[in-house]
Amino acid sequence: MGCGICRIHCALSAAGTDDLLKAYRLNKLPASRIRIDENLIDKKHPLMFAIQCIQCEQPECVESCLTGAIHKDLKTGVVIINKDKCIGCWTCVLACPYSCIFPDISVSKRAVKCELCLDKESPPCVAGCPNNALIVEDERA
Amino acid sequence: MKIVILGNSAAAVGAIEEIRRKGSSDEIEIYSAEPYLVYSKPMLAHVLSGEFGIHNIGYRDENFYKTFDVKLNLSLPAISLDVSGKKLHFVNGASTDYDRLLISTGAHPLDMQIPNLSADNKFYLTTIGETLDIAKGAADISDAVVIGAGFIGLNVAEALVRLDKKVVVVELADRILPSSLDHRASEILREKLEAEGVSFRLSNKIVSADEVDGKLRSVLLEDEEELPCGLIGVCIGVKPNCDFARVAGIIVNRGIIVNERMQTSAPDVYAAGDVAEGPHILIEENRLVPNWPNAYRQGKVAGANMIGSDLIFDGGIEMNSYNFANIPINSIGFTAQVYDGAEEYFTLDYKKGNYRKIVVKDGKLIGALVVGDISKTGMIGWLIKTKIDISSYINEILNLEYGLSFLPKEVLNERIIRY
Repeated sequence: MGCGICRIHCALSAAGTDDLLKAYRLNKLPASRIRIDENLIDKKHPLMFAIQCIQCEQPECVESCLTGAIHKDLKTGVVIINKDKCIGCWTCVLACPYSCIFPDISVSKRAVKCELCLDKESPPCVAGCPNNALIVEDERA
Repeated sequence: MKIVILGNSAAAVGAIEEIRRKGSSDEIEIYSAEPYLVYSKPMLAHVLSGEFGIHNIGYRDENFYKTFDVKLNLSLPAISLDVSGKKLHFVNGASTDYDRLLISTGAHPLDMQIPNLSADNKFYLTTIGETLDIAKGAADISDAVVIGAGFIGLNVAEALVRLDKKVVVVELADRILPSSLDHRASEILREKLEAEGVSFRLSNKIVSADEVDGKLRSVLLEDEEELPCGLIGVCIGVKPNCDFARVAGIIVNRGIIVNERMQTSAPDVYAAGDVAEGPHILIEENRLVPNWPNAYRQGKVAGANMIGSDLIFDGGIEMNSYNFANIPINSIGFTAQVYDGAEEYFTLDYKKGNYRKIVVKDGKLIGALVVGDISKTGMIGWLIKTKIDISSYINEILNLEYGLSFLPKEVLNERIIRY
């Protein structure tokens, strides 16, 4: 439906709170790591989907990163940003063909992306999707 | 098989990581002219400004060479190459044989001769050594002049301003970042940089310097303005380190000529990175594309082909991401000038500092320049590389309403939807 609730859950989780008002009022909300891609040109058949980093085999963000801040974890396959090394130059933003690495310009001033919330039982975007449109599957097994 | 790599930067890392990723256990030796483990050159400005120390700008961690089983030789520049005997000679008299050689020796800053200016008062920012020099030179001065308003020049200027120096940038062109920005983008950024304290003298140049007992006091501009300054940053571009390759008989134009497999004209000799003049995505001729992502990608292609795996370089492309004065700017492809047969479309909100321009030729995107909301530039840049016809979606792209959902179904299915 393109409701974008996943984006709110993602940003809240990144802000480290589940209180929406608190997140908005105390801090600015960080950038969501998931985005809605939609094509509304054909009014009868609109196309919309939520999309986040697909953890590429050979990630262009890793290859383009000027500082070596991004790497692909060989065990989990997740592409991870080292926040201490990221200088917010946004070269990765320009390199990602899916536009799934985001410039968190107002809060952390670092690039952010979906790192699959492996520390949580279920990623907040999945848990919070009202339509069960988002699912999480582990391909490694 | 023994693979020898000359140079220890982005292209070398691209080659090493690809060679090992493909499972090759071939012997790899790397020779660097510098005394440091691989570091991020784009972070040098952050060293100059004091945000990072030289030990915190490693491009890979210190275990990189061990993890990837690479024999590292530092402070050992090559002086000559025998391509028929497959032998390299080094400055200390040592030599080594190779089965495959990758030349990724990078580039050095172009120099500029100015009357009455000694070399001691000229500084650069392309290596750790040069960065330490300029930091030392800046310690007891209050005014600095930077020649060149390109990426490195603005980096130096911004870093010196953060050190509370008064900085004037002198640029021959009529705008800042002239090789990637047009006048509109350039003006937006110039105002923000001026608000930060960087001054500019555009369409201007230095004609002479005033030194007393080796101490720089001022420079004189072409329009007769005198600028007080204690040091000069020379940031007018870089030149490939390819003289020894030329002497060895390898075909060199402005850089070492390579094909889409990064092969040079000499058997088993490859080149990648700022030293290489390789194929381009948008034009037929080879071209120098001295940017970091291009160096890594070329190194990766060279690495694959050196171990007999067939990987084709899809071509270099100008791509720049700037974050000067906290203004995000992305440019990719041909964005700085008006190109023959191409049409420009743009949207500008000068007050908000938002500007987007796309350059279209024969229905295909050949350039994109975005100031402000850069969140979708990756997808837009990808359209340049894939050469998909976007003529019906120009407004959607300009208004940032374009997405992957506009792609032809078969492309979308292949790229995105895997289930």
